[in-house]
Amino acid sequence: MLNSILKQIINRRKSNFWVSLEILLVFCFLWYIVDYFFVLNYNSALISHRDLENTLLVEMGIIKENHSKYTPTPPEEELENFQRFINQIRSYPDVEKTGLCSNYSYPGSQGQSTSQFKAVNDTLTSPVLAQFFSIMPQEDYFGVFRHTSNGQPFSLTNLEVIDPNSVIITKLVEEKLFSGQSAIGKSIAFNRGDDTPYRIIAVIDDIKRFSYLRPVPCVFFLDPITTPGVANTSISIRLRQGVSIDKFIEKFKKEKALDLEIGNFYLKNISSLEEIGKRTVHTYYMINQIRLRTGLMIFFLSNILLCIVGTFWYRIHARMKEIGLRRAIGSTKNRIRSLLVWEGLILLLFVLPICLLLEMQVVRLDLLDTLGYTEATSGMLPDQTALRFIITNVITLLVMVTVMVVSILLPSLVINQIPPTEALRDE
Amino acid sequence: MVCIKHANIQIQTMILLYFRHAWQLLKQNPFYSIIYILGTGLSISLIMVIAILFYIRTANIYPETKRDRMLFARHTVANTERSRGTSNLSLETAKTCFSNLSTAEAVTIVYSNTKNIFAQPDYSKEQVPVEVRYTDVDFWKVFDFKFIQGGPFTEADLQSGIRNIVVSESFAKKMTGTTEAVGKTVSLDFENYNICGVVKDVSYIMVRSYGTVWMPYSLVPETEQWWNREEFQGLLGPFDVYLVAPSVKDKKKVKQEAEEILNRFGNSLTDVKFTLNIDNQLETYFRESADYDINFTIILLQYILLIIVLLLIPAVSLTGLTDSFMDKRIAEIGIRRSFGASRYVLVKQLITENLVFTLLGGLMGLILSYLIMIATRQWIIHIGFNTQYSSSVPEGTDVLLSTGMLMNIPIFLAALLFCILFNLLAVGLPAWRTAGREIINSLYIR
Repeated sequence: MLNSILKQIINRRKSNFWVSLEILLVFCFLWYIVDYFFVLNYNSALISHRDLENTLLVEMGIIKENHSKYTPTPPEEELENFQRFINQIRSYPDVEKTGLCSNYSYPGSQGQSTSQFKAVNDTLTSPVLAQFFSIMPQEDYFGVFRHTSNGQPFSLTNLEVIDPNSVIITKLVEEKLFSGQSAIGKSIAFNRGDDTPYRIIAVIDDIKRFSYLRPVPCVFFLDPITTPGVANTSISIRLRQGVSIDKFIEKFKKEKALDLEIGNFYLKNISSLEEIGKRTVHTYYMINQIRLRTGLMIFFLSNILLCIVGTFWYRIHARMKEIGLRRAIGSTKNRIRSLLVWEGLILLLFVLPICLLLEMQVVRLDLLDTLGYTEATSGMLPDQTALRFIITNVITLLVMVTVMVVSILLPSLVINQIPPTEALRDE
Repeated sequence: MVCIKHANIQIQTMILLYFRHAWQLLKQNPFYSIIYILGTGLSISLIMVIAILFYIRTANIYPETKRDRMLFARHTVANTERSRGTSNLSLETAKTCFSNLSTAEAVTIVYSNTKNIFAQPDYSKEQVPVEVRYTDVDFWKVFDFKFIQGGPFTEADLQSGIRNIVVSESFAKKMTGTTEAVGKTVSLDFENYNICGVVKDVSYIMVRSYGTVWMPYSLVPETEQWWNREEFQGLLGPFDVYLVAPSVKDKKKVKQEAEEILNRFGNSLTDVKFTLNIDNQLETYFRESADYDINFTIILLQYILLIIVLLLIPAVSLTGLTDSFMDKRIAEIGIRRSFGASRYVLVKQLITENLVFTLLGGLMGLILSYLIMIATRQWIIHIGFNTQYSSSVPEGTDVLLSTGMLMNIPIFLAALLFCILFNLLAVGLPAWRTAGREIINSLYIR
């Protein structure tokens, strides 16, 4: 059978040259896109130990001093008004928990703060680059987002004493700075000359900024609310299980807008944190990157489908006599189809080494992106070049084989309809 | 004259003959025709999406009808010994550097991006999101807004800080129930504003002029007119300057004058180095920050490479198919050659006949590109190279795509050009090889 297939391939070498060229181009471009999606899906599969489902961000508006409706308010009263604002939200039906943090510390925010942190009294271990957040311990920020510590729900209310120089870190910080030993009770500091120690009071499980990234080392500072800080405070809430977000938002805006006009504060907006996160991801061009690549992948696969369908339709019609003869001497329709399929797949196999060679040049020239790479998480599967190369090429090969088999089987359906005598008739 | 006329008639008859022949081939070979047209359509649709996006970003479209004559001063870098800041201009810098340009037809100072605030309608406690653009009075000379009622705010409004604003017709309707809203009051962030003009809606795609509400920049709080005043001497801020030259040729003169003024201004500063680029429409679109040297060659190469990929991959697949298809016509070609037809004439015939298939595919591709643009308009406008950041369309905003943006002479010409190019790529080589075969081999019947 192999001899027969190879002879057919050589007989149609002119046409097979173009088909092979098409397979080569599509395979290489497809592999580039498959590689991107491989890394993206790998990152997405890494667990982020927090839950944004059913969480909302309440935007509090503040009437400023130069506004005609501004009411001069002493700082203590301003703080009390803010507390009343929070209480109104917390007491609303279907609100399970409330949390406070500084602007850009809520999940999905556009801004982020990062810095190098070092272990105090340790000059040997390298500092670690970490994202840091400012949380107000008065409300249950960690409860709103269902952070965990060693797999168990974590909340600030579990901790006995919280002083202003306390921090909570994630496991990655503990691993990098304390070689996996318990970090509780130890201290860290910014690695920028300011040696103020911050005592670690808890270690929580790792989280990711966005689903397409890897977990990052995180440090949570605990800062009590102050009057000047109120303007930069974000309020997040978790709804009870089963409550519809859209209906809640509509109802909340209608019913609470008036109640939340407290002093110089008012309700500006309330939106889903998952939606906010999606908009931020959009801002970093991620969504469009994915759409662009998906569109191109569909384009390439459609082209190869058209190419193979067209080529093999012609071939089948040109070889009707041969097909008729085979059927007349006992060959089944499936056997003939498998001959055609193998013809296509052998072309793919001929072209494969050239594709791999070209792809290796792309890897050598460092033209591949490793989405979400950080030094703290180096060593993961996407960082292992050879293994990643093999896996992505196997995936690409499987996709191409599937598309080519379907493309060859489609025109070969015509074999069903033509009896051997018709095929043998000399036109 | 008679000979030329006769030759013209001959050519026209020949072309008509080719097209009639092609039509017959289309009917006789439906499968090849379908595959070819689909393949062409797929390629042309994606290329035309790129072409339409390019057109939308560079052509003169309401209200940005002077884009071909415009220059943009937007991206600033300030370097001191200790730090570096990148931003737009402060209001002070914009006024100092650009108020006295003699060569420009008009100069406007505008807030770089729209500001998101909330309106408080009378009929509901639910706040309505609004995109506000702060501008000066010359903004209405630089852009050609169509006023449905009333007119723009005046210089006196700008100087005195009076709250007269211009609103879009859809906003006027939403807040007051009618587009005839001049004289009415709306509440924005709990302040009352008077509507002095209502304009035809502007598409979100028109990034330099888009807004729901336009108001004088004197209503921007002073503390928001500059950033990092102490560190960068008040150079940086949130404002852009747009310049309009009297004609396309005069853009160079305007740019020269602006750069001279900027040089003098830069030299007058102490302890800070100040850089500001004056860009045209395309440059400002691609520039992300002022010290990002636009390498147009690389950007152009990236787009050319993408178009080559989008043309080449389908063309290669269809070349093989066309080769097989032309094998059926070898006898016909052989007979024509034996009667004296030259290779060139035969190649011309084959390419022209195939152009019918390509044009049908191109038409399908163009319609498909319109459908893609309409279906994905909320995000496709942000697709591009050298794009690290893209804003998402504000909540509740529907991106408007007018018929003029999609159906116009440049787009049709671009579609035709790509069809001709595709036709040459897909059919050129097979036609050349088929027409060049030995007559004996062509006539031999197996």
